[in-house]
Amino acid sequence: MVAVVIAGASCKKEPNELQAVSLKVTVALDQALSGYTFNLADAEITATNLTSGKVNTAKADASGVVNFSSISPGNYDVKATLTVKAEDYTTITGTFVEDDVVLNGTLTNKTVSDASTSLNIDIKAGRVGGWVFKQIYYAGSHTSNGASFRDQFIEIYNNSNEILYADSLYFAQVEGVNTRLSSIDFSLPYLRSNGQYDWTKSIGMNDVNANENYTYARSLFMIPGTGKQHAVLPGKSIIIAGTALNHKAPFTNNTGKEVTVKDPSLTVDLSGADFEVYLGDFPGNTPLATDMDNPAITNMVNYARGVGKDLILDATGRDAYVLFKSSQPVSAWKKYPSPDETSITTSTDYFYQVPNTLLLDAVQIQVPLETSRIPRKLHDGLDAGPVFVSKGQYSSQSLIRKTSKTVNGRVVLKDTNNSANDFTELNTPDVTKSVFK
Amino acid sequence: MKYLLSVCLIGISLHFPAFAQGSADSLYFFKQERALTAWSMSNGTQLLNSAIYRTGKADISFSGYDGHFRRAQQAETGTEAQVYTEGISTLNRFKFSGYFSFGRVWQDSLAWSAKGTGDDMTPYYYGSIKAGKFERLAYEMGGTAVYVLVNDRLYAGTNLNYRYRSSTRSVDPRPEIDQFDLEIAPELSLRLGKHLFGAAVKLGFGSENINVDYKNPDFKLSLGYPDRINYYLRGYGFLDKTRHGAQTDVKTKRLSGALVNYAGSAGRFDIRFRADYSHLLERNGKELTNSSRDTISNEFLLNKLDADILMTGRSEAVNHQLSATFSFFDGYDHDLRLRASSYFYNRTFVEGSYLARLVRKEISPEFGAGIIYDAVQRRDISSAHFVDHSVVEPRIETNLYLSKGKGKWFSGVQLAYRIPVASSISVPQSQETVFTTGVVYPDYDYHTSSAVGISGELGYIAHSFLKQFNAGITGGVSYWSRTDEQLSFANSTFVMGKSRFSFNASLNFYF
Repeated sequence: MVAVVIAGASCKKEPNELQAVSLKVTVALDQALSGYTFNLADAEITATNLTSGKVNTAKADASGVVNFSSISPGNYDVKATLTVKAEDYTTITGTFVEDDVVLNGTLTNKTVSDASTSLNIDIKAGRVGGWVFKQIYYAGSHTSNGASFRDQFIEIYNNSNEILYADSLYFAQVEGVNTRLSSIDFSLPYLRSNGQYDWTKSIGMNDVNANENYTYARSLFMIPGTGKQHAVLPGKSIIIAGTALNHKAPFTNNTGKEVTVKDPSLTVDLSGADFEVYLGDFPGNTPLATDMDNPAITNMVNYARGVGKDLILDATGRDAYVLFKSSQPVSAWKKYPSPDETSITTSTDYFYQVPNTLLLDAVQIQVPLETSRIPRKLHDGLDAGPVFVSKGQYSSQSLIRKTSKTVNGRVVLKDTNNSANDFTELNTPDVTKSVFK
Repeated sequence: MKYLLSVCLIGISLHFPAFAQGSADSLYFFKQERALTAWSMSNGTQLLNSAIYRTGKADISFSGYDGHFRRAQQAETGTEAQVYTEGISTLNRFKFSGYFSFGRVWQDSLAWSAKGTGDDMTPYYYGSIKAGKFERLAYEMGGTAVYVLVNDRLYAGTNLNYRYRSSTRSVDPRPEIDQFDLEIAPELSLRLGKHLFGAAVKLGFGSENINVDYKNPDFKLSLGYPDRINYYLRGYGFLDKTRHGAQTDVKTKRLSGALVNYAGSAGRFDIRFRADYSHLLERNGKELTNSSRDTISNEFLLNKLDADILMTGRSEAVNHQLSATFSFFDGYDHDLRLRASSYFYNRTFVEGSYLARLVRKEISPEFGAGIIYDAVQRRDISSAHFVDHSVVEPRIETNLYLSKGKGKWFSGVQLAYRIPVASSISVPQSQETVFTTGVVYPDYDYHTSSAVGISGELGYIAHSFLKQFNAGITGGVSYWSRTDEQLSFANSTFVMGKSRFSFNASLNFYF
């Protein structure tokens, strides 16, 4: 009898046993830098598992190669960063730079499931400009105890050593796919391999470089001015608010209803903002009850509102923001429908095509949880590393750019075109413009 | 269904007054008799062979434990209140046994396990760093019915077991788990002289609905509270951060197997043997309410072989009892995402024990010894976690039975020592996760610790307490203390303590 039972036990089907997984990453210089001899052994490679969140970091060898000999199978974001000292960069390229130069490269959502997987990353230098985002308060505050998204704002900083004028400075939210990477059907014809829109498929588009050379604005706002109306001193900043009110105090909204917050400590007083976005008179918009027009605050010029009825930043983090200036009026720029549109109707939305050459700063926000990440809307040359506030939506946390150094009392903010490295967070947003981290 | 079964089984347990084979309490007085009674209720062949034809027992018990010398996926403290009843009855050509229990469990400081049960073997479950309180309730009921087909020759029977458990936790992430299992084992038994042989097939199914959600939305999607992240644990190191905080999963179970039995005697020895092979298939997935089919994301298969023997010898001077148990577990998963098996679990458990009771009229001492060998191997290939540990646990015991006047006393003391014999662990640094430092490392330290345990039991059965039936009380305590100081991993986030204490007390009624 025992033999029968044991025989039964031994008849089980043999499992198909998994093989151990390894990943080889090879870092190389982008084509534009290929003539130079930067020391690739200084490159740091980070592989982030998008299901477990496990992060592995290693230094490359002299050939720019890193072997992660034992990692879990899954989908990975891989990032390479090479910091070149200012004097080395000057020596190697012959171009004088004052600060260290950071070369970045990323690969997004790469499947690593074979016993041995090889990936190649090209690293490139990004643009460094005078205007930078200093603080981004996209998370908003508690939906019932705070002010929800009403108190969102951005702070823009003069990171140069000369006076800059904010007149005609544009702020835009970038259009793109907001679907979770794990839920995307990558076979769709209007998507690129990274899950983001392929703008070459947009109706009316005939530019083969539509993805590489442009960013597409979902919302677009401009600081008004004659050209030298809004001077910003070096090391100083301006705040653009969605609604420039004291959100800690009760106010009466557009429908005559009083709006209060239960816990004023969760939100901020934006009555001292420099500019606000008011969309109550934007053509075709049904005004939002809480989009108040503070007459004491200068309104932004609105070119596109996207889907928002105010300046509404995505509190979950599915957003990317850019700053740019243009000598040409954007109203004359080309606009294209989203690539997933198959026909043009009266309700089709069009998005401004912004040349990347004009961009002064760009920040890719991301969803905190690795498994909920969306395709990036900005490529490496614009922002190599997405960033987020750790406590997520409606947490009252803001992103603030780190301090790089102080020169004669002027704070120079860190700008390596890698927001993951350049930003940290505040648990309470700062509207005094005086906080540096 | 559940209610109907309960009524029937309580009826079997309580309705028929016990007589003839002696008072029911005598079946639960001596430890050797308790083992024989338990065997008798395990299946049809053993029930047929039992001299017990009517008995019943009901317990109202309260038990608990406390202490930091534990695995990371165990509760720090816990209490349980339980009502339990069992019985055997004979009616013409039928013989029945049945049991019913209802228990409520309160646990505190349980982390990394949003499971409905406390097993540390099965993969594919949720867990978080945050420890919290669990409340569970459990119904279990079952029984065996045997029918005489041919007098003194052939018998047909069946064994049925039903279990329902519900678990909830009161801190985020808060799981709500409802599970049930139903097993049936039809059996044919053949008597050849003093020997009774049985063979049964086992079939079973079950399901488990798992909902994990958050009350506080701040914890749901934020990384600012890492202890609140709801992980999906795919093996023993391989994990997912869940896509959303809230999850609704369904687990289905299919069981098949075979059972062989022997009950008989040789000389003055009563011999009982059973061997049980089970094949369990657990399928995990998402329930699709608008579809006829659920999505299946992974499977866990477990082959289990149990063999037990109980030999009881009686003489005028000494009653002996020798028992041995062998269990072998062989489990592995099939991850449909990876299209391969990544998690492998093997366990070998062997236990042997011997008891000798000197037969006296009033005071009967009993002496015994036993040994356990328990070896577990876990391999999680995706995360390159390879863990082996085995222990040997010898024990000695002495019991004393006092039967005088209108009452009976029994007491016992047991001393055990746990000795780790072989162990190894391999986790590359590149694969270390919060689960590694929170569970794998601390549990390895736990399983490779030597420890000494002492337990005691005291009971009293009153013959004249109530007119209709006898009643008694039983109490027990157990204390384990770690005897080594060494911890292997400096980065463990759970550091076990030195000791653990447990107790139980019950009020017993014998019918």
